[in-house]
Amino acid sequence: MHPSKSIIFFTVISGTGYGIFIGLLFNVLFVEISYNLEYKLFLSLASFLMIVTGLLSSTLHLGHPERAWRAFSQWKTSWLSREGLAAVITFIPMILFYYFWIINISGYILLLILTSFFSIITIFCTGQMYASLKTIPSWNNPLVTPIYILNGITLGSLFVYSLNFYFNYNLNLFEKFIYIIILLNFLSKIIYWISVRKKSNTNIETAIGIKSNGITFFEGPHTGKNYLTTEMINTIRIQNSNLLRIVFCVLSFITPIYMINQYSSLVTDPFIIKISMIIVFVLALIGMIIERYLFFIQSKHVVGLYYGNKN
Amino acid sequence: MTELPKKTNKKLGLVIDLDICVGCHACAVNCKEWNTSGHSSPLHDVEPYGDDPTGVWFNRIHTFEVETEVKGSKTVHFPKSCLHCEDAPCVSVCPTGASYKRDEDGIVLVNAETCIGCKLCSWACPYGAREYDETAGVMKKCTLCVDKIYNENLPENERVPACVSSCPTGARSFGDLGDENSEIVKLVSEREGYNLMPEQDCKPVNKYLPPKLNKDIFKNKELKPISKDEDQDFEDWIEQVQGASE
Amino acid sequence: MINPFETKKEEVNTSPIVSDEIKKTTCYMCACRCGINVHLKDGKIRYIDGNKDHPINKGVLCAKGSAGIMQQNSPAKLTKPLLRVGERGDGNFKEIEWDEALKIATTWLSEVRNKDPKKLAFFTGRDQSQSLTGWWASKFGTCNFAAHGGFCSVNMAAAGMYTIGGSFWEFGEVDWDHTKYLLLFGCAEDHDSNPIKMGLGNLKTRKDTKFVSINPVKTGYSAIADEWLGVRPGTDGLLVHSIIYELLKANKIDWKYLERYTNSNWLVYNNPGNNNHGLFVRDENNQTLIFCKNKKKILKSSETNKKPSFFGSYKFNGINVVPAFELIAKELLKDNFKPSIVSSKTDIKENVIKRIASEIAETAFEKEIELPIEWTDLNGKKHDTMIGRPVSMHAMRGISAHSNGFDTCRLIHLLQMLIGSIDVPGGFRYKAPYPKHVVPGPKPSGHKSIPNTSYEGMPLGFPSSPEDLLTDENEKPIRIDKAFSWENPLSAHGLMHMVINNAWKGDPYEIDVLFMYMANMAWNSAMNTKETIAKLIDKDKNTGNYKIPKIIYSDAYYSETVPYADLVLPDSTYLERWDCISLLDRPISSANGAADAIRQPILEIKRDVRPFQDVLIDLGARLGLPGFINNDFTPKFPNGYIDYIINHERQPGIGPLAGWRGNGNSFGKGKVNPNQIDEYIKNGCFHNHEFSSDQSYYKFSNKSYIDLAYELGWIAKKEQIVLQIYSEEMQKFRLAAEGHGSKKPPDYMSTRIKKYFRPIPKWYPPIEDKNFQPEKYNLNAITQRPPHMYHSWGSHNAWLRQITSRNYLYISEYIAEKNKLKDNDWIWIESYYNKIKVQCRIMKGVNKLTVWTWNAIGKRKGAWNLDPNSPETEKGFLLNHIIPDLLPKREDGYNYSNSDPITGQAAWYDLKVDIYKCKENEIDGRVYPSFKTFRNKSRKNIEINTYGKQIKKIYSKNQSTKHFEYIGNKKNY
Repeated sequence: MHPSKSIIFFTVISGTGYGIFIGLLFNVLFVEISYNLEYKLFLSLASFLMIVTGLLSSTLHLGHPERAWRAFSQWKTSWLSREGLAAVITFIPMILFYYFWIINISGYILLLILTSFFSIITIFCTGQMYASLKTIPSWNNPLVTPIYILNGITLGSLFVYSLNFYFNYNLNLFEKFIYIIILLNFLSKIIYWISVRKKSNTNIETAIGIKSNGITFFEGPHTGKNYLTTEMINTIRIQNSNLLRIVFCVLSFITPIYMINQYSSLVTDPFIIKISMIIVFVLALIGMIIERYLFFIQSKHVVGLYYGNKN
Repeated sequence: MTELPKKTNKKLGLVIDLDICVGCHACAVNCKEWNTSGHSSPLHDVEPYGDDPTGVWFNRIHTFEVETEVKGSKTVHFPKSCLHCEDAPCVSVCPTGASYKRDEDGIVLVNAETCIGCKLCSWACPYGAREYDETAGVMKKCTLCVDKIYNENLPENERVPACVSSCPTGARSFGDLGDENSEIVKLVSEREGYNLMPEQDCKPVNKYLPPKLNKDIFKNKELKPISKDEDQDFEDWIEQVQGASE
Repeated sequence: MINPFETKKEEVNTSPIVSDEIKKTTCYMCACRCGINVHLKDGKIRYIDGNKDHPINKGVLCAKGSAGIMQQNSPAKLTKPLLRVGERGDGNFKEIEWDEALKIATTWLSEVRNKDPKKLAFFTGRDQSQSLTGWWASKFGTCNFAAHGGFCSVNMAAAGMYTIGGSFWEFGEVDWDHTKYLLLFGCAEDHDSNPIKMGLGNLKTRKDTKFVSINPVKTGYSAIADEWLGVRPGTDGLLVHSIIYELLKANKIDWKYLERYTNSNWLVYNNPGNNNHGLFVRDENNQTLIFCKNKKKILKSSETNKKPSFFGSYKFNGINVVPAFELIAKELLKDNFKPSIVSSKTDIKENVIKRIASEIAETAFEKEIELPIEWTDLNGKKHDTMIGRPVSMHAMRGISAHSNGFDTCRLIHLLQMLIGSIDVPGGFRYKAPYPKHVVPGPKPSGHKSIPNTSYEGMPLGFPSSPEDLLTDENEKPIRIDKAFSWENPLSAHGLMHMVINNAWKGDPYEIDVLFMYMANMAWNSAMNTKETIAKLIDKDKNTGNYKIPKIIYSDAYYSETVPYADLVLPDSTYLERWDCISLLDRPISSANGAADAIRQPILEIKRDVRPFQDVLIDLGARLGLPGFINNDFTPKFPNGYIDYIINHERQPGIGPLAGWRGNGNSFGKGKVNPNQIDEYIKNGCFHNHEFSSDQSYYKFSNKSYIDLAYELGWIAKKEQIVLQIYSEEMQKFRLAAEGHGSKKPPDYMSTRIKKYFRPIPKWYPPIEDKNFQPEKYNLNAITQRPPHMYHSWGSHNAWLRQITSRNYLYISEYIAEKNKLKDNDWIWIESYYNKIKVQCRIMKGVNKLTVWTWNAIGKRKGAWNLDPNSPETEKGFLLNHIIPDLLPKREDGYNYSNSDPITGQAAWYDLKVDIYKCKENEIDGRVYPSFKTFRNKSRKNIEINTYGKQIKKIYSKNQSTKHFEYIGNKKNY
C-alpha cells in the first residue's frame, strides 16, 4: 500500500496522544504523585495537540476535507465512521478531565478512566479499520488492532515517563509498567511478523478463477502506471525492510528499555539525562513512524495479483 | 446506503466469457468513451501526451499465461471492471454513505456529492474496481452504464453497457443474474460460470466463464495411407487412388 | 440544517439526453472501415458506437474506433500548410496560405509533367481512395504510382488472384456460420479485424467446432484457439506441404470438386526444352483440353459430359501431354514433405501434423454439410442443395510478410482446393466483387513517359506473361520502384518500400518530385529506417541539391515524415471529410453482398487544413489533367471530392459508388444520380446489395451469380472462373528464363526466375534464412500489430497510448535460459547489419526460436506532439532499424530488395537476429538508436484532459426501470 504521509503521521501522533491518558491513568491509580500545575498544563496541552493535529492531518489526505463531517453517519457499518465518532466522543470526557484535573476537582479520576476507555476505543476503531480489510492479508490479522493499541500506549507511556522524569516524579512502578508494555508490544510484533509470512488463501488462481500449476503475468492494462498501481502496489526490497525493522526495534523498544534501566549508571549532568529521556521518546516516536511506514509499504493488496504480484 | 440492502430486486451484472475474449481492449476504451461524458464525467487523463500518462478507466484488460496439463500454456485475456458484489465491502467501509448499492438493481454507485475521497473503499475492494479522481477529489467507478441501460433517449437495443455492446467477439453478456429464468443465468450454469476470489466473500454478481481447455471431437489421430506399403511409389499410389474412385 | 448522522441519498436520473444529433459515417481508425454512429452534443462528439445495421461490424466497435474522440482531439493535428525553411529533417517550417501552397505544388508538378511525367513518384500509404489516386497518376502520366500494398498485402492479393481469382486479407472471409474447422495462418489483429473477431466468437461458441491457429505467437486470436501451432516464422508453407502430403497419401481429396472447378485435369505439354513445355494444351480455338477416361480421347475442358483423367500420359499432335494433376501429385508427394521430415524445420511435432491432417479430412469428408439451397451451375446443371466441406482457412500478414509468402499463400489455396472448400458452405468465401477470372485485367500501364500525356490504363495491374512487364528494351525496370520488372514481376501493388532508396540512388533514374500521402516512410513504414532518413536528406556533392529534389507530403498529423517534406499539405481527420469506399478499389463487401460506403463530414474543420482528396482534385484541375477539367479548362469537380464521388464515371454508368444510381433504383450501373449521396447518408453512409441465397456459394461456377457479376461489370465474360491449381502464368515466366519467347530476363536474373517461378507452388526457406551467417543469426524476429493501435496512429491518441506507450522484446523461456536473461534486462538485438538496444520480457506462448514485439510503438522525439521524453521515445523501439531494405550484394554487385522475388512484397518477417545481454556500462535506461529531436514549434503540453466535462447534462423526464438482456453470442446458446 502507498505509505501516505498524512495517514502515517495521524495514526502515530494521535495514537501517542491517546496513549498518554493510559500512561497517566496508571500513575494516577497506582503511584502517589502530587502533580504540579505546570506538569498538568503541559501534559494536557501536549495530549490535546497530538490528538487534534493527528485528526487534522488525517483529513489532509481526503479529497474533500470540507465534507468530513459526513463521516459520522455510517457508524453502524464503517470502522472509519466509528473511529471518527469515537474520536469526537473522547473529547467530551477528555476536556472535562483536563478541566477537573487542572483545577483539582475530585472526580477527575473517573473522567480519566472514561477518557482512557474512549481513547482505547478510538485506537481500536483505527486498528479495526485496517484489520477488517480482507483485501490486505497482512492487515487482516488479529494482532493488528492490539498492536495499534500497544503502540499508542507505548508511546504515550514513554511520553508520560519522560515528563515524569523531567519533573522528578516517582518512576519505580511505572518503569515496570513500561517494561511490560514494551515486552508485550515486542512479542506481538514478532508473532505478527511471523504470522504474516503465511500465504493468503487469495492467490492468482482464485483471482482469475483458473486452477493451474503456474500462472504468469504477461501484460497489464497499461504499460505505465494507474491509480491502483500507485495506491495499492508498492514494494520495498526485503533487505531494506529487514533493516528498517531492526531500526524500529532499536528505537522504539531497545533504546527506551536500555535508558530506563541504565540511566542511573550514566554519570553525567542530570539535566542532560532529563533531555535524553525526551530524546528517547522522540526516537521511539520515529521508530513507530518507521513501523507504521513498514505497515503500509510491506502490505500487499490482493489487487496486485492482477498486476503480476506474487502471492 | 452504507448498509447493504438485504436483497435487491434485480442483480444486474455482466458475464464475461474467457473462452472467447481476445484481449482487444475494445470494451475498456468504449467504456472510457461513454463514461467520460456520462454519469461520472469526466474520466480524466493526467499528462495525456507527457512522459508518464495516466488516467481514469473503469474497465481494464489483463493478460496471463496459464500452464495447463494438456496443452502447454494458455494465454488468457482477462477483462475486469466492477463486479457489483452483493456483499460489497466498498459499500460497508464507506464512512459517509456515498458508496452505495441500489435496492432496485444492485448496481454499486458512488454519490459524488457526498464522497469525501478517503479512498478506503478502493482499499476494501479486492478487484481494483475503484478509481480515484484526483481532480474531483472523489472516487469513481463502473456504473454498469446506469445512464445507458435505462436511457429512454436511446433505442431499446442500445440500452446495454458500453463494454457489452462494443465487444467484437461477443464475450460479454448483460442481464439479471438474480432471475433464475433468464438466459444469462442459463448461460452461466451451462458454462459453469464462477466467482472471482470467492474466499473474499464479496459475492460478486458478475460471473466469468472459463476457457475451454479440452476439445476432443475427433475420432482419429492420423490418416491411413491408401496404400499399405509404407514406401509406395508414385505409380502405385495412382493405381490405388484410381481404384478407390472407380 | 446539517445533520451529521443523515445519509444523503443520491437521485440518479438514468435518462440523460445523449445527443442532439446522431451522424452516421465510416470509421477510419484502421482499414476495417466499420459503420459508426457519431453522437453529437453541444457541437462535440459525445460518443461513437458501432452501427448495428452495418454489414462489416453489425454494431460492435474496436478499441481504436472507440477512441475516435481522442483522434479528433489530438494536438498532433497539423493546422496549416507548411513550407520548409532550413534543412530537411530539422522540423523548421514556415506557415503559408493554401493559395501559395497549391501554387508551389502546381509549379513543381507541372515542370515535371512538361518534361518527363514519370519523374513524379506519387505514393500513397494508408490511402482508402486508391481508385482516385491511381486514376490521378494515370492522368498525370506517371507510371510511378502505388499505395502501400507492396509492403503490406501483395503476396496474399497476388497469390489469390493468380490462383483462385480472389484472395484472403479483407477480400474473402470464413463462412463463420457454418464452418466446423478453422485454420488461421499468421493472423493477428489486422484488416477485417471486427468481422474476424465476431466470427471467432461465433465459431467458438458453436458446438463441435475447432479453431486452430498457426502462429509463432500465442496472443490475441491465437490465445483463444482450441489448438495453437507455434510454427517457426516462414515455414507455414512447409507445414501445409506436409498436410497436403498426408491428405494425398490417404486419398482424402475432393476429386469431384477438382474436376468441376479447377484446372487440375487440363492437359499440359510435357515437352522439356521446348517453348510450350508446361503450358496448357489448347486446340485451334484456343480451348484447353482434357483426356476423357470414358471416351478414351482428348476433349475440350469445357465439354459437359466428360470423365476427365487426373493422371496418365497422352499424345497431342505427337507431343507428350499430361493432366496437370499428374504433375501436381508427383511434386506434392515428394518424400521431403513427410511430417517426420518437416517437423524439425517447422517446430511442429510429427504426430501433430498427422493429427491436424486427419482432423481436416474427418471434418471435410465426414462432417460434410448440405444447405437446402437450389442453384444452377454454369453448365446449366441444377443442384438441389449446396454441399459444403466445413473446413475453412484464412491467412494474413504472417504469411504475407515473408519472401516466400506468395508460394506459401498459393499452397494454402491449393490445400483448400484439394479438399473442395473454396466458396462452399463452411469453407472460405469470396467477397464481392470477387471472384474474378484468372488472371484479371487490366495490365499495368506506363511503358512510355510522354510530356503532358496521360495513360489510358492504370499504373497497377496483373501481368499474365513476360510481355506485360514494365521493362525497357534492355529489360531494365521502367518504374522507380522496379515493380513489374524481372526483379519482382508480379508486383501488383508496387514496391513503396523501395522508392526512397531507388530515387536517392538514381536507379533506374532520378526523380524530381516525391509526392506522398499518409505513409510514415521516415519511420515505421520504412525498412532500415536510419538509412532511409539519411537518404532523404542526402545531397549531391557537386550541386549541393538534395538527391531527392522535392518532397511533397500530406498527412493529418505531425508524423515522423512531416519534417522531411519540403511542402506539407495538411489533411483533415476522418470525421471532417467526404470519402468513398468504392467497389472500384477496396469495398466493404461481404460474401453475402456487395457493399460500398462513404464518409461524411461530421465536424466542421476549424483549422486551415483541407481534405487531401479535395486538394488532389484541385491540383488535377490546376495542372489541366484530362478528366479533371472541362473542355473550357474549368475544373470538372469544382466542389472537390464529393463532386467527383457523385459525378465521376470510370466507365459509362459505373462510378465510385454503386448504390442508388440512375433515378435512385439502379445498383452497380446507372446514370449519375445527383441525390445519390443523400441516399447514402439516409442509409447510414453505406449501400449493401444482398445476394440471393442461390448466389451465395460456388460463385465461380454459379450461373445466377456470374450473370449478376457480368451485368455489373465485375467480370469481363460470362464464363466459369476456373480455379488455377496449376499456374500457367508462372510457367510462362519460367519459360522466358529458360530462354523461350521474345521477352527474356537479363542473364543474371534467369536463375532467380527459374528458381522461384513454378507452375506448382513449392515452399522455399525465406531468403534471409540462409544468406547471412545462419548459425549466428538463428532467431526469427517478428512484430505484431497491437489490437488497439493502427501502426503509428495510436500513440498520439490520449487513450490508446495509455494502454501501450512502450514495448518489450518478448522472448521464449528457452532463449531466456540460454542467454541467461531475466525480465526487463537490457539486451542487444542484432541482425546481420545493424543492432538495437531494448528491454526484454520472457513469455511462454511463443515459438522457442522466435522473438517478437508490438509494431510501431517506438516514436521519434519531437513527433506526434508527444513529450520528447515519452516512454515511446525512451523505451519504445522499432525493429525496422535492423530490417534490411536491401539484401547484401550479389557477386555482380547488385543488391536485390528484401522482398518476395515474385511479387516484391516487403519481407518484414524474414528478419533473423541474435540477442545478447547489454554490458553494464551500456545501460542508460534508453533504447538505441535514438535520433535528434525534431524542432516542433507547434507542440503543446496538456496537463490534464477532462474531455466530457464540457458536455452539459440534460435529462429527459421519462425514466425506465426495465433492462434489456444481452447475450454475447445468443444464437449459439
